[in-house]
Amino acid sequence: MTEQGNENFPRRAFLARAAKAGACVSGACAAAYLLYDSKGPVPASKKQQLVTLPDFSVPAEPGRSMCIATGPDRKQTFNKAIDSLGGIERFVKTGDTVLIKPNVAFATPPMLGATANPQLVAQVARLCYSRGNAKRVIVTDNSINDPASCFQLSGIGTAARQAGAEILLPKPTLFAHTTLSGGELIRNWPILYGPFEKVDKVIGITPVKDHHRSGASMTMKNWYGLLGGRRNIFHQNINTIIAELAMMVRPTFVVLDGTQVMMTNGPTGGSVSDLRRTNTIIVSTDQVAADSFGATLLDLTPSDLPYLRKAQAGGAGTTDYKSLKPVIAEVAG
Amino acid sequence: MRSGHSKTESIVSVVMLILLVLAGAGIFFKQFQYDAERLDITLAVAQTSPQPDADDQINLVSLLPAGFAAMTQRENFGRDNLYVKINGKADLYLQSGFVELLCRRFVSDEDQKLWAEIFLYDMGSARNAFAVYSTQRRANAVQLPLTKFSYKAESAVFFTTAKYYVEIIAADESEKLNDAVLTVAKNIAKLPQKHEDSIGELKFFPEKGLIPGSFKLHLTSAFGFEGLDDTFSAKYRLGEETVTAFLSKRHSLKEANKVADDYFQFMIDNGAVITSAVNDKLAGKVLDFYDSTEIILVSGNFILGVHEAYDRLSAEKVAIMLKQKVTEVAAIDRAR
Repeated sequence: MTEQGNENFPRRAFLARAAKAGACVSGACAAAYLLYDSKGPVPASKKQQLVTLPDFSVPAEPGRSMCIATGPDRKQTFNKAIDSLGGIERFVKTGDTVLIKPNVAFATPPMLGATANPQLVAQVARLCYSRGNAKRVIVTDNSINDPASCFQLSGIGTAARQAGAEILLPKPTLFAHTTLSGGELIRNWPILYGPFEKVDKVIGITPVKDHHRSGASMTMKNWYGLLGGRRNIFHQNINTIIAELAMMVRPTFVVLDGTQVMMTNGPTGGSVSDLRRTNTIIVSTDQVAADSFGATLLDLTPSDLPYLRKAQAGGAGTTDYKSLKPVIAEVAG
Repeated sequence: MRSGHSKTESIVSVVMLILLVLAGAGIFFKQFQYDAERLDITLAVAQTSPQPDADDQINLVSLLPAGFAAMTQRENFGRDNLYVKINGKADLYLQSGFVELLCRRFVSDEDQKLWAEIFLYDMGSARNAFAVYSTQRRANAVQLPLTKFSYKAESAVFFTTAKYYVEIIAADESEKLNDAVLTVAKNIAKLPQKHEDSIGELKFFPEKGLIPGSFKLHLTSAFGFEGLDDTFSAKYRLGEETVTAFLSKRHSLKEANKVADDYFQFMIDNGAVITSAVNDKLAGKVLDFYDSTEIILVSGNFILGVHEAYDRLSAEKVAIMLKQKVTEVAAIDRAR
């Protein structure tokens, strides 16, 4: 070595050390390559495959995709709305198994309007049996609070059972992982899949609510109740997750209950003072259109809710609900 | 060539090898700690952990009136699982210093439909408790004499006591249940508290024309402007007009001026137009914002003003009153 400071370190020693160091690095890389688990950890209980929710929609009929019905009585208003779209028998056929997904997020009393109205859920179930000749009606939700308490205290459990529906409480064996094609957030994520496995039709029922994070909670946000896992992380990206949920679930139709609207302090509310009576029920095969109209009940416009635009871009429906030429119906009070 | 290595080289090498072994061990053990809730479907369903009453917590059962009993066990929620109870509203609390939520339902001995739920939010300080209380205050509320900040809305009672924000929500509007809710509220309000429950800034708001119960604390982004945090607002009624006044105490005059300038610029950027005050006593910036008036002033360490008023004269009057009161109270504080 001729350079200053390295005169005592010969080339041969340097090369030997460099070779040893190179061997160490190569060995570490080889070990990492051999030990690398590209799939990551999977639940020991079930090395399951990814599932995809089927499409439960029915063939479209021009001018019969959406009805905006007004009236003070939920049952009558819903009956009017569904009849305006061709009756429940257009959607539910003899022998069908129907899955109803109401919003049963919280263990709160029905009068607070934080959950779907129990009488409305019961009426939909009743019509599925009486006029749709359904074989079976199942009601389910993966509630935010303890599911059994939610179904009991919201009144939905009792009302649905009285209408002949079965309550299916979420349990771990009913969950499976899914990935939404083109999805950013729903990737290898557990959803409440079991109830969908052997059903023919899916109906979503939810009230119109203010939502602290997303601005509004309506039919698209209702599918949040299908997510498992630590789903609250999605609140950081609430508009995307709501849009992706709408892209993931293709229901037969949705019922948006604006009979009483939670105008403030949503999504839990806490007082009847948070509610405003608007006497409107929307039944729609297009959930984006239903929510776009629902926004107006909260004194918002569709452009105030970014997830509507995202869902439309994802092909889940249209924000231009007027383009569907919704049927306007009224039930006298 | 030296035959061996220096002592320093050997020590450094050994230390580095130890560090590498430790890092390797750390990675090895850490790999077992992944997000099980995402991957393990057995954790997919909401789980809460009802617990018996502990001595170090408020025993809510002891506060129930005669004829009512606990309906469910106590539930506790912390920062990591508050969403399990209130989902989308959790952020409001988490951003306001939330520490813990204690819940319990109680029910009438005679009628199972008559039940209510107590939500006792430990917000860490009276100021934080006031922030969530004031943000959610119902418009048609009836003030209660329970504590300094308390009201009744249909089917529920809401109040703050020391560091706690309390909600008691009834499942039915019957008189019997409402009486029970009020009794529980009074019993909670009477509990001795270790924490100070005064909020200093409120004394700077003039009393004349103040709409009772209209105070609000914006811990972040008051009026949509990120830089205006920790800001109090209050509503005033002058004749037919309602005016919102605001006030925020900063660390120094320099900071107050900076925030005032930034807020002014924010308003300009969003379409506000500079205008002159009608009242020549008003020494501040007056803006016309799409037919509403915005006034921004600085007094000592305070930035203060009027937000979105629809009558210019009333807005200026409230701004002058507010500045005068801030000056007076600040002078008294300094004298002390």
